[in-house]
Amino acid sequence: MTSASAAATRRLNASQLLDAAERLLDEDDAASAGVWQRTAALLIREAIELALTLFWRRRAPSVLQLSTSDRWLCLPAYLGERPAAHAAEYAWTALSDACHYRSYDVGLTQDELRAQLATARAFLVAVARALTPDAGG
Amino acid sequence: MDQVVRKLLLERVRASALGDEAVALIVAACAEGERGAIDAAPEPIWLRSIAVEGFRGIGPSATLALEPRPGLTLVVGRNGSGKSSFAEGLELLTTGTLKRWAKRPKAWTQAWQCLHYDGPTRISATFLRSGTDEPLALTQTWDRGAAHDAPTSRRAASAWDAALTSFRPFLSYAELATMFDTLTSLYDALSPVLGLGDVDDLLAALGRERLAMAKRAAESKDAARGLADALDDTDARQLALAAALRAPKRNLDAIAELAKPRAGRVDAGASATALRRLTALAAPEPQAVADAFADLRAATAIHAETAATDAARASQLADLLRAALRLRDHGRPADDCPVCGAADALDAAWERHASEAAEALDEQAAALRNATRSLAACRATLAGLFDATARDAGALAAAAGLENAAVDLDGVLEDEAAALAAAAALARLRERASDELDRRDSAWQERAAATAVWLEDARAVAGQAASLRAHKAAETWLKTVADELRAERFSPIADQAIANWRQLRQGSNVELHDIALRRQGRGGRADFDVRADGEPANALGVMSQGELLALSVSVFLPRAALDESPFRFAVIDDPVQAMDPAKVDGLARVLHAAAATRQLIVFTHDDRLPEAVRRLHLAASVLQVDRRARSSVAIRVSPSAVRRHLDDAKRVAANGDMPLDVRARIVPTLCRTAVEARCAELVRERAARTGVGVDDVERRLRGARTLRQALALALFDDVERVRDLGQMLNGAELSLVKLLNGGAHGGIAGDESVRRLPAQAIELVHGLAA
Repeated sequence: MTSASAAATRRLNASQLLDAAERLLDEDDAASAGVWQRTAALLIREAIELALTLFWRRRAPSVLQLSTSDRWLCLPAYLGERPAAHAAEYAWTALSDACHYRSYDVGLTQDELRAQLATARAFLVAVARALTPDAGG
Repeated sequence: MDQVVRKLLLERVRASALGDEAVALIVAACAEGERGAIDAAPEPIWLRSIAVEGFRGIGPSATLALEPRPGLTLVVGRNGSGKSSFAEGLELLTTGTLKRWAKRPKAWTQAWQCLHYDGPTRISATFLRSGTDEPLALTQTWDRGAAHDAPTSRRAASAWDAALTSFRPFLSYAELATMFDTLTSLYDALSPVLGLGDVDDLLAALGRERLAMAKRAAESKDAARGLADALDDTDARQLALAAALRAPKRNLDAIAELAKPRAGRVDAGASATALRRLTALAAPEPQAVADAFADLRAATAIHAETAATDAARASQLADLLRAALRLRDHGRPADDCPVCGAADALDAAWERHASEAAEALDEQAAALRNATRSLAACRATLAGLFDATARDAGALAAAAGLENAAVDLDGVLEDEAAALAAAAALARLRERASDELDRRDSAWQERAAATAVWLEDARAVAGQAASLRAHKAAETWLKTVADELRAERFSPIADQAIANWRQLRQGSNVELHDIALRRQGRGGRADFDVRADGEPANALGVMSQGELLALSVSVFLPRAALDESPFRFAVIDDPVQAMDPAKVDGLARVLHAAAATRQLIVFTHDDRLPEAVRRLHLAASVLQVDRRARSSVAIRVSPSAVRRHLDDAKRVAANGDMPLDVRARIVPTLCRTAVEARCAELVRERAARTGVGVDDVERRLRGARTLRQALALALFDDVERVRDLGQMLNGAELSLVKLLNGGAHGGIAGDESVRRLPAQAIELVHGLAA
């Protein structure tokens, strides 16, 4: 992602990013015509990444020096074997593909993006639950 | 007949309100079905390898080696890599043709051999027979240029051939796309696997029998009409029989009575009566006629002779002379003539003369009278030859229906020739009448005999009326029960298909509520209860091509998973082709779930499916197919999940940039995952080999919650035997297991021990396989 969009989204937390993505999917807004797909994909991916980063920052900050692929690889050792985590990893991959511009790519559909959105929310919940016991200590 | 269906049928028929005969029909048909099923149901087989040479995209021999056990294998290759040639090679070898070629122009089946290869085509496959160590190998070769259906050496027939039509373990892209072209094709694909084809056959057999009986009854009716039509309505016996035969409700006993061949039984009809009178006709003998005419002629001649003198005048003259004689006075010698007055004319001489003359005249008169009488007698005799019956002959003949039988009696009393002709005609008529009576009698006998034959059949037909009713009742009952069974047997498949569809459809607005198989005429159709945005909709109308494809896969997988199928493998060719990218993870999950009990081999042309499988951490083997020049096809085995986890473990362990405490947590987890994955492989392998517990492998694997339990399951097939692990593992291995188990919870200290862990895990994994 570009540094400009990162700066723009950093102020929002992961959940807010997903809400923004959902609004894009719900609204038939002329302003976002043509770009809503890629924007929503970007927002959802950003939210997943943010949750993943948050998790590592709290649990093992040193993992953050690894590539995103390796951050996913290490996740089961700290989060356990959770389907929500695997689904989020897959969604992150698919969304990363979608965010890259390819001239032949027709992009994700609204339905597909909604499915990714649901996956992302489930992942956020899984991460939040995993971090809750530690939050106090 | 499918044993399950047979049992269900028998249970239901015994509990039904059907009549005894209808029940007996179904029970007998089920027994028939049981005999046919003895050599059915061969043991399950797993696929071990496919070797293809000189076929389509494959030139020199290439072998696809597979793990004969439950699990998902992805065969990945770009379009044109030759990967589909393996799938199609197997299909051609086992079924003798390709579904893709069906209903295609001939050009599709030409050039089916590899264009870059001069040698013969050779396709072979080996299978593992569950529960035995005996492999099953099938090989077939074709000469260069041979037609696909004319191999040089045909593969041996196998016990699984029969099941290929019902449980076709192939789903090619062409089939995926055309499964819903007609709703009947899905019904046809599913009906045999539910064992309902047998019920349909049973229904058809009952229908055939009923039709045969109905046909026989109709034929009997037609035969009665034919018999009646052939009967001669001039014969009263036949007329009565015909009426009985034509009656709307035929009384067979009455007909039997009417047709009874009894002696002396005559035809009481007018025509027969006339005939019988004619047979009693007195036709004069020619001699009698000739004699009568001779007498007549003689009498006529005498009469004519005597009639020359006037008899009356002679008598009168004799009377006159006698009167004169009486008048003469004998006292006188002569008297005068009282008539002319001549004197003394009446003297002695005259007296003498007059007496003689009077006598002569009397004689003359008597002769004439005799002649007349005689002539009359002759005429009477002649007339007597042609009696009243003879005179009626013409009318009788007409009444009897004899044609050209008029007898001309004109002049028979005058003309001998005419009389002779008439006598001959009468004699002929009498003979004809007699012949006609004989003919009618024999015709009657014949008809009566024919009727007797018909009666026998008619009684049989009447006897099967009850059977016909029983057939109809059995058929109606079976139709209803077949529908119920179809629904019941199909519902698990439908449920699974719907569950699959939910996984696959993701955000699609099309909801699948129900799939129902319905019988329609001789065939059937599959109906899809589909809602688009909550509104009932036509399944095929609202679904995109990709969705239809997903639906095909949804339905195919539960079919392949049926226990009745002897094929423990299923081959799906390119299900992702027309699928939306975001649905691929759903497909990966559905395929992975189906692979819990089946060996699923999925050919795919891009990396989306393997990627989804890797990212979702689903167990699967991935084979890469690529084709070089001259159609030389190579297969590379992508690192297995076990391998990948171990490689990742090695990489992370050696990564000095990562803090030790993190590595000490991640490396054991990865190693443990690898060992657990290997244990799962071993458990699945054993289940496939022995045929025991294939269907609950997944449940048992889930039951192994710890690494030690997974090892116990892999080594002893018993999750409880964790204490016995020492029998199979050495001390180093046991302490490794302990490390891996506790690793995630921070049991490892020291960089060196973390770095050593992957190598130790590799050894353990290898040791398990031995």
